[in-house]
Amino acid sequence: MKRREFIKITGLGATSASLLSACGHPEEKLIPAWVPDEEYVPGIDYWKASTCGMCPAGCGIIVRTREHKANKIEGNPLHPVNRGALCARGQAGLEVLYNPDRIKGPMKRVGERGEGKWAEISWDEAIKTVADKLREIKAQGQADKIVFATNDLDGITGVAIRNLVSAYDGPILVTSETPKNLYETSVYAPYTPTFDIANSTYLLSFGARFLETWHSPVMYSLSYSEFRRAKGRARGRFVQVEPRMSLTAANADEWLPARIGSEGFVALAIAQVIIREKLVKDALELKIESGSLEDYAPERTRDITGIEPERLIRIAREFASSERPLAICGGAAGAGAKDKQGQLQAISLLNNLRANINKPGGVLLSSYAYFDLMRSVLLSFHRLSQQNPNRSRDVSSSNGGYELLSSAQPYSALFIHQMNPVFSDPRTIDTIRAIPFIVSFASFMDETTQLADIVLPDHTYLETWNVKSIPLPGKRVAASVTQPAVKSEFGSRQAADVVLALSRELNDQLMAFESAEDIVKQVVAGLVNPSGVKEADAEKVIANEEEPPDMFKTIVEQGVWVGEVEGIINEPQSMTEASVYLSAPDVSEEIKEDYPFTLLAYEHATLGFGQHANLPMLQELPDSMTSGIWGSWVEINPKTAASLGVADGDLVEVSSYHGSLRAPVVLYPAIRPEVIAMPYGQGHTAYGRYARDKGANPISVNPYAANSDTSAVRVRLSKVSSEGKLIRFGTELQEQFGKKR
Amino acid sequence: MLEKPPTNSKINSDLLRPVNKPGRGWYATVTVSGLVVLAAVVALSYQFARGLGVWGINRPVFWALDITNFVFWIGISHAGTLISAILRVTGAEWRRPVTRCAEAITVFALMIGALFPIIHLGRPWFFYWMVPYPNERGLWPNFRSPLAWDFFAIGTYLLGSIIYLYLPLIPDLALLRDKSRGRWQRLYRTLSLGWRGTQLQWDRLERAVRVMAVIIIPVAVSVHTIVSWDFAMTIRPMWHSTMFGPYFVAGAIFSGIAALILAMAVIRRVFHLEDYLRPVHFNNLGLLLLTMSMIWFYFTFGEYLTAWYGNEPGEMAVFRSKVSGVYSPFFWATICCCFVIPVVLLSFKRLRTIKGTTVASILVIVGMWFERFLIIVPTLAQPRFAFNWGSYKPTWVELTLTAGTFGYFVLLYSIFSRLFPIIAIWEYKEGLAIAPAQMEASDAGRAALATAD
Amino acid sequence: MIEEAKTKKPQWAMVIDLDRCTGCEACVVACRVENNIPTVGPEEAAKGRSINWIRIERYFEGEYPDVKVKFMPVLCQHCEEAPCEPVCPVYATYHTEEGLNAQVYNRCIGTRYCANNCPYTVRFFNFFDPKWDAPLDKALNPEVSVRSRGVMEKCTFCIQRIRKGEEKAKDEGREVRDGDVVPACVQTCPTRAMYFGNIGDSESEVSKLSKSNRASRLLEELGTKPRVIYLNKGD
Ligand SMILES: Nc1nc2c(c(=O)[nH]1)N[C@H]1C(S)=C(S)[C@@H](COP(=O)(O)OP(=O)(O)OC[C@H]3O[C@@H](n4cnc5c(=O)[nH]c(N)nc54)[C@H](O)[C@@H]3O)O[C@H]1N2
Ligand SMILES: Nc1nc2c(c(=O)[nH]1)N[C@H]1C(S)=C(S)[C@@H](COP(=O)(O)OP(=O)(O)OC[C@H]3O[C@@H](n4cnc5c(=O)[nH]c(N)nc54)[C@H](O)[C@@H]3O)O[C@H]1N2
Ligand code: SF4
Ligand code: SF4
Ligand code: SF4
Ligand code: SF4
Ligand code: SF4
Ligand SMILES: [Mo]
Repeated sequence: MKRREFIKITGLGATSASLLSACGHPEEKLIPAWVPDEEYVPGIDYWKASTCGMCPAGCGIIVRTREHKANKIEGNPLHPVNRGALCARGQAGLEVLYNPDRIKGPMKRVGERGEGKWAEISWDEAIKTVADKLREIKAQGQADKIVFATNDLDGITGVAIRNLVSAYDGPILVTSETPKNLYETSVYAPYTPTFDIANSTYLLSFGARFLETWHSPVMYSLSYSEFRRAKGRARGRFVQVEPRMSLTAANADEWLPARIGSEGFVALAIAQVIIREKLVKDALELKIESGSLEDYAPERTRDITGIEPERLIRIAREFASSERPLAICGGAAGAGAKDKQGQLQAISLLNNLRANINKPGGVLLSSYAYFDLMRSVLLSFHRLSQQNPNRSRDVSSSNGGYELLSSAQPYSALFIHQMNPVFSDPRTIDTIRAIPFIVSFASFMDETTQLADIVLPDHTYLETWNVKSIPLPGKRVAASVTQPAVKSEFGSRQAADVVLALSRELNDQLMAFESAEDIVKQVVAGLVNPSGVKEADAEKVIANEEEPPDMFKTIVEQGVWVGEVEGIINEPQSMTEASVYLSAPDVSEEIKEDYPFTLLAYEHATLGFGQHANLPMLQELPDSMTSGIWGSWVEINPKTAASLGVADGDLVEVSSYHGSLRAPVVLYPAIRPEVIAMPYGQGHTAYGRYARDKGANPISVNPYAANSDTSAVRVRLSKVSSEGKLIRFGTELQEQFGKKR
Repeated sequence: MLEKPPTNSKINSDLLRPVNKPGRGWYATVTVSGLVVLAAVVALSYQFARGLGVWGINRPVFWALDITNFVFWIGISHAGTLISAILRVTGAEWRRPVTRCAEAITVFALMIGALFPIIHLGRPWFFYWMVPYPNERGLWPNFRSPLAWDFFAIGTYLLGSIIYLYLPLIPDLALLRDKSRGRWQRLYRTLSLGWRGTQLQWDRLERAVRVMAVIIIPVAVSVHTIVSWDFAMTIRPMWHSTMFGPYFVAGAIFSGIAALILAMAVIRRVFHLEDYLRPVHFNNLGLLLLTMSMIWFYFTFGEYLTAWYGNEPGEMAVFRSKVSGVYSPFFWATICCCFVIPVVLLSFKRLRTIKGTTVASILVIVGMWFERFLIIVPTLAQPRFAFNWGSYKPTWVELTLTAGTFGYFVLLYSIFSRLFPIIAIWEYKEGLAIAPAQMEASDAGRAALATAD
Repeated sequence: MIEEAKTKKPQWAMVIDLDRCTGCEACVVACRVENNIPTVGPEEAAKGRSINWIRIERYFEGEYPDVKVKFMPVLCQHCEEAPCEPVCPVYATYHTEEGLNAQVYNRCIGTRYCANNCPYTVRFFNFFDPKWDAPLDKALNPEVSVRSRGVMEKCTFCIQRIRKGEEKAKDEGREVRDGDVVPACVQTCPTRAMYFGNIGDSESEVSKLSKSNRASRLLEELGTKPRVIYLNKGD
């Protein structure tokens, strides 16, 4: 992957004044983090640029503060991802910062594990306790059984952890949660694809909820907006293939409810029509390992896809004749399929047929993978540790965090940061319970932290320093800076700082970084002056000629740095050589009988997988499709419901082979009759007053979902009572009105 | 029953009995109604302390039992003044034992109805901002608002009906003054304004009563018209109707008569006034009730037919919710209570007995309460955009307050009948003096009914 | 449709492009944060007392599998002939010279009559005192008053932002122009589906868009003359 890199700095021409006038707040002040307290004027708004931490997309934000209190978050107009816009979650970020259930300082468990009895301790004592414990573990020869799981492995927490590993000189297993989106894009490896929805004319999406959760919702929403109506261009046509109509599908011109797991067949059927009708010139030959292309004709696969052949033929013709068509393989497409990779390959063939890779309106490959933001600091750090050649260096686990923690290993200690495996992946519970020493960096008392021995409360993203690279189309790369919008006042400390303090406690000779802020400074310095990276593996780096005097200040003020990586994008080999193997989704008759439905659990658009269930604002935000608030629900096709004798609002039990849950019914006209759907996000048993005891977590009927990307599981359903306690903001479905009222 | 007109002293002792010796029934009534009022006071205090949220109202059903009770009681108030005034103006002789009962109903029902526009406010302590007076806010009330009209209409009506109740009370007060002692005497003396029963006084009184009777009729009509305009002036489906004025007035008189019949039946029983409130009164009022029932039904039919025929989506949503939707049980119960059953009971002489008319009246009162509810809640629950449709369920606070209105009414009425003769003594005597023959004739005509009683 | 320019004051209006709006509800949260709208909690919300000055109405049309969905953001339409205004007995809601339907919380006595006469159901009542569990109250916008129990509230077109924008234009000695005033909902919208500006100025974006053949207003037949203009889907 390492090739020549030519990094050029671009996009820094704008001044901070233009940033604020660009977003309608011209009279106010945009300030970098270090304006001293005395300079604050009461009654004046100060805006700070930073990065949204509510999902991995990394939109730029500006935070309005007055008298040291943050009171509004808006999008950063200069940020290449979101250009000033922000999604619903991003808007709610202040409730993370000022959440009443934040842990107010370090704590030590005093009762039984999980009993919830804690003693407050000082930061010094906390750090010393953990350091002593680490030494003790090393003395027992158990150092290789320590796990450090963080969701910020690519950020500066990862850097700090490497410092810790080196200082500790023990092979700590470092891991993060599995990046779920990876498989969807693996077709384009090693590149990260972005999809030029804005410039496409025909969009065929297979389950990608790009307007809600998928990859970068705000970036794609902006893109979609142009797709719909840009000046001097016809309105784009959008078809979404999905068993349950998501909000994204609801915005499509056509919703194609293909059977779960049959997306590859739909794609191949379309491809077959395109080729048999010779709709494109010089179509490349498709290699189908699981048969001949004819086997996938829409007429022959109708039973698998559940879609009328005429419809697929029409779509094939539309796709082939449209000026700039684009197919997206995303979301949980293929969730019910035996071979996901095959499904995705099949879908990407459609793009190959129209040869739209790196063309406007097509798949734009990103240089993201070639842009290693942390490289400069890690190199300089390695320089330092090379003076001690025997020290542990590379400790990243190749396994995902959930996989690691669900294997029955006798781990000696667990450090957990920004992950809540006990809630998100119940398979890990037994392993975690058996770990003798657990340190949690959680800001809130979540289900995992409840089992901890030491709690070292982390800052929220609005109090931290961080920097993060973000995929942009083409050559452009971006580094988005996170800086404290307000001074921390709730007794927490940034995890990276605590990890560095721990390193210092263990070995103060091996300190490459002073603090989290210092890491960010060094990273930014590395961007501004890449020539500082001398020992790069024979890399030639060209520095920017005119380097502005205080680049750090400017970058931090703008919140984002945009650069370019040149000369690396080629078409991935796999694109031209791809061969597809598809196997039909089939289920044994026995399972069909016992579990007649497939449960499709999807990520809640704002509560996510549960990480935002503690924000009252988002709990009370109506779900766009069901209007549900403060709880979860099961979506059922009205016909299916009628056959089961359940009505809207009834309480039902959903059982799978693995377990069962109860939730109220929402009659949902836009879902396949054999599919029922449920949002993730609720079902917390801890995590503060707003999250606790609201709704159910679908993971309890599908414990393998977290890691295997299998969103779908077979279930059966039975009515419990007519008192589902479903809360909605809007009213029931319209078609019910006539009958019920 | 009555062979010859009773003597003056018998009339005095019969009609003053409630004042002198109210009996156990009276004490029981006062205790029970007093407890209900107490419960309502507790509920109201709780509401003031916590906020309107302790009611079941919500978005979009911002009004419910509060305005139901308001409209209902203002309607009941038409019993009195209007009926007694019409009867007086038209010189219906049989009215004599009925007028006081009716006039008292008016005053108390109004006092209750007028409470709701105040206690239903989000910030009831600022209710006086609706009163036009020069103030530090530099702001008059908005005279374009039907709520401001309500304020004037109800205020005028309350004042008028108090006067109208009071004027004919004066000679009886004088009688009480002469027959009582101590503290009470002082009260009666003050209230009777030095009544001596001179010819001049009688002339003036009669003229005043006649003038008031003429004045009070348009006032009463206007009050309920204006109440109806609270709804009709809006642009809500099934509210925005030109028919609402007469519809509401008719409904008000309808429920008012029913209230009067029921009150008379109770008084007759509790105070043993069988000789005074006789079948003829129930029969005549029953016929009036029958007429009003038909008028009410005519209006209702017209209302719903036009809504249905117009087939406008907003109207239809409300229409359907009432006729076949969640509110249909109430709707059909209302039709039965206000039309089907009363018409049967009141159309046949054999059924138009005291019992028959009383049963019909109870049904009409219940029915008319639900009619008010059905005018208010379904329209609010079904706004034009179906996404905002809602529903309504009363809380204990609203139910207690509703019960409290009835308790309060009974309590006030009981106290009134304890303090003042509930049948106008002088009017009754005057009637005997003017046309004993007339009365006897009509009495004979009702002989069959009387014995049946 | 616009009131004759008796006044030189800007006439504020909004345009919402339904072809762009995805129903994502970012605007709903933005409005809540900017305007100190309290959450009421599950019990109250179950009673229908949740407050959203702007909401996304969702309508399903058709039956499986031919289901279509319509999203429609609804906020106070700032009707030129606002039916909510004449019914208020105490002038707590009235029309400003800039075409705003203003709400004076301190005058409101809570009759809820205005809400009953708003055909768009965009008025919200404070059934109880609002509550922010400390330290959530630190996030309150100091420029927007917190409403007590018993008063009505609704979208103000972000009056605090209008004032700031107007002051700035005045300081610079010019008329307001596009971009001076950006309400919170418009600012955040991820599909840029909303526009805000002076419809009295024929050069403004909202003016131009309001003449589009896709333009319509909600419940036009009622004669309320809304100042929110919707652009329908399609070409
Ligand atoms: N707002 C917000 N955005 C986020 C996050 C967040 O928490 N909030 N989290 C981020 C993270 S960590 C992740 S991993 C991503 C996840 O976000 P996505 O990758 O979008 O995953 P899901 O939200 O689970 O969406 C799955 C979709 O696939 C559909 N689906 C399920 N099974 C099938 C199938 O068999 N076939 C087809 N065609 N469709 C199917 C479902 O209907 C559903 O619409 O979101 C990221 N973005
Ligand atoms: N069934 C099923 N399960 C899934 C998935 C699925 O598709 N299906 N998806 C998987 C995927 S893609 C994901 S991303 C995971 C999500 O699962 P996790 O990564 O475990 O995310 P959460 O459960 O939301 O827990 C995140 C925790 O981070 C903490 N936190 C939040 N903000 C901060 C902060 O600023 N600092 C610190 N220190 N902590 C913070 C909170 O305590 C919160 O509990 O779920 C996985 N689980
Ligand atoms: S998509 Fe939303 S949550 Fe994710 S970073 Fe952007 S604004 Fe934040
Ligand atoms: S933010 Fe924009 S796209 Fe999202 S719901 Fe509101 S108007 Fe629609
Ligand atoms: S939308 Fe409703 S609240 Fe707003 S001005 Fe019109 S009538 Fe009044
Ligand atoms: S609720 Fe307030 S604003 Fe509305 S009509 Fe009553 S007093 Fe006026
Ligand atoms: S204009 Fe302002 S007050 Fe109105 S909905 Fe938008 S954000 Fe809320
Ligand atoms: Mo994820």
